[in-house]
Amino acid sequence: MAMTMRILPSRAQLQMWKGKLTGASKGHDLLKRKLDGLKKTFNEVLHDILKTKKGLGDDMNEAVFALAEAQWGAGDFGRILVETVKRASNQVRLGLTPKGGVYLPVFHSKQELGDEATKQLGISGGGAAIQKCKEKFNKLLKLLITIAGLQSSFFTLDEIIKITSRRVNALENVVIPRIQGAIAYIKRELDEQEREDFFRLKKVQDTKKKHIERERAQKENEDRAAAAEEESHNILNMEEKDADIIF
Amino acid sequence: MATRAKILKQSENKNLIAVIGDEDTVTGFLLTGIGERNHRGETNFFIVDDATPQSAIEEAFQRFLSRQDIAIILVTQKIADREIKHLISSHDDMLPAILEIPSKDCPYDPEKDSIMQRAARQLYGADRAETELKAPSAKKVA
Repeated sequence: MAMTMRILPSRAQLQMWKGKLTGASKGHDLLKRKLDGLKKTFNEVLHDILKTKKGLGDDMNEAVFALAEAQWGAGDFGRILVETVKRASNQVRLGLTPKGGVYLPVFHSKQELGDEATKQLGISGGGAAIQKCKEKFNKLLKLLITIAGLQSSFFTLDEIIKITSRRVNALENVVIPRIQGAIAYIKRELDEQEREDFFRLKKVQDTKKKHIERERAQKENEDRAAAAEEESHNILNMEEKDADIIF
Repeated sequence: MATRAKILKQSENKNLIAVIGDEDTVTGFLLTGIGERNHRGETNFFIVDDATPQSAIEEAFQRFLSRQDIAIILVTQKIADREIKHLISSHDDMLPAILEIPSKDCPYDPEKDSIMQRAARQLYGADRAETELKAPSAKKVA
């Protein structure tokens, strides 16, 4: 209410507030639609996450089996691998794809050829098994990278949905009612002013009428007085016009 | 919401995939060439065995989280569930993405994955989440 007290009730202000209401309603409408779209995308992402992650177990089993084969062939090469690691030849790069007005993160695999560390492995035996194992783990890693992208999208969307719904609620429950309150206040004040004006006009008319009547009455009185005067005068005149008396 | 350019700039150097897991899992992923040892001798993988104390795992995980060049952290579900569950649950940023993966001696269980739990809760509602997560594994058995 404190806010409405500061509004100057006038036609121009009413027009301005009406414009604000249209803007706010349109914004609310658009944001609501955006929110619906985001929720749809969110559900799609969730479905994808659940689906891909459920398939993860099988891929992992295959990969682990291949690793066991490789270790049987080439011995425990894990320690050598750990010692010889230098530079990552398999990296990821973050890309953003636009979807429904937001950018969703996607990881792209960035593979460089010629990794020395793994090439020397299995020279003494089990090379084929190691290669097979490598392929399996690469496949698994690709899947994991996809899931990582989906998971990041999940966090991003979650955040954006929170922000958007906060905005929708703010418009719906705070901004629009406040504007409507202001418009109602201005209308009320304008009506009040109109009534006051009308009353004032009536009053003025009333006084004018009284004034005129009073003037007329005065005039009538004057006229009557004048007439009376004239009449008395006439009597005198008539007397003058009396026939001469002859003795 | 951060703009596109800002996100891309932040993630410019985030290229590495880190692994926390048992020796075999880490070995497998190292085969794909994701391992890196930088000039300070820091590696982006951490091998956990039965003797590794929880504090060491926590510390390694925190180190990976705070490093500027790591985009994805893979943690085997066994370790994630037993040792650093609280850290994973409280992680709410987009990057690095934390993934719980199955390991050799522990088959993948979607019911225990914190992300899966969250996703299922959002998708099916809190009361149906668990049954929905359980359903596919039941099908597989049958």
